Amino acid sequence: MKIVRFISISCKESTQLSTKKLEQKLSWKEAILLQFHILICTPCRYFQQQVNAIHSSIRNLISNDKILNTKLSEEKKIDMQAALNKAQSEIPSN
Amino acid sequence: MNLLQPAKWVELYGDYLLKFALFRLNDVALCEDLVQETFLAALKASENFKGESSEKTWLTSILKNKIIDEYRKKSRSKIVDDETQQEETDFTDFFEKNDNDFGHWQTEQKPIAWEKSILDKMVTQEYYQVLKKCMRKLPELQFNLIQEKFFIENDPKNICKKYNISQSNYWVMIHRVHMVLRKCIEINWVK
Repeated sequence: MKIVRFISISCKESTQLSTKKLEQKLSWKEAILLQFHILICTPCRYFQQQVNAIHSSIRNLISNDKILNTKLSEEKKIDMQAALNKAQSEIPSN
Repeated sequence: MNLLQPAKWVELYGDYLLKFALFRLNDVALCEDLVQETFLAALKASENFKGESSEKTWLTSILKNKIIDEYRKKSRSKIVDDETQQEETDFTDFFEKNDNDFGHWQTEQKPIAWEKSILDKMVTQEYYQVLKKCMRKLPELQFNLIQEKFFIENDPKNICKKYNISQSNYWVMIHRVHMVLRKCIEINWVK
C-alpha cells in the first residue's frame, strides 16, 4: 500500500500537472506520476484531453475570431484623428 | 514627446486596440470610445513615456486600465469576492476535501466523455461563442491572466511581476481557470 501511495497522486494534483504540462515541460517524475494516474483514472484522462482541446481552441479563437476582423470604420478613424490633433494643438509646450 | 508619433496612432494602432478591447468587453461602441479615450489620455501623459516599452505596448497598457475601470463599474460587492476567493484557492468546489483521501472528484464535477464529433466542432462559431461567454464569466484577475498569456503572449514571469502575484499563485489561478472553463464548456456546449 505504501508503494501505491508513493506512486499515486490525487485527482487534484493530476489536473494541476495537466495544466502545468500545457505551459512547460514536466520533470520526469511529474511526467511519470501523471501518466500513471491517467492510465487508471478515466475522469482525469478526459480532463487532460479536454483541457488540451480548450487550450488550442483559445489559440484558434485568437487567430480566427470575428473580433479580429473588426476594424474601425474610416469615419471613426477620421473623427479620432481629428480629436487627437485638436487635443495636441491645445498642449502649449508642443 | 519626440519618441511618440500621435499623428500616426489611429492608423497604426486603432484596429489593434479596438480588437484588444472587444475581446474583453464585447460592445463595439463602448470599445471605440475607450480607444479614443486611450489616445487622448496618452497624449496628456506623453511626458511619462520614456521609450522603455514600445508605443504599442504603452498605449495598450493605458487601454487596459480603462477596461479594468469599466469592469470596476460593473463589479460585484467586495464581500462576495472574498467568498469566491476562498473557494478559488482550496478547490473544494471541485474535489472532495479529506486529508486521508486522494482528493477525488466531487461526483457531480467528474468530467464526462466528449465524443469525437464534439471535439471536431470546437472550431465553429457556435463553439467560440460559448468559449467567449465562459471566459467572460471568469473573475477579473483570472481573465487578465488569460488575456496576457494568450493575447499578449507575455511569459509567466513577466505576468507575475506585473500583477504582483507569486509563481505558485499564478499556477493555482491558471489551474483554476482550466477547471472552470472546462466545466462551463461542458455544461453549455457538450450537454
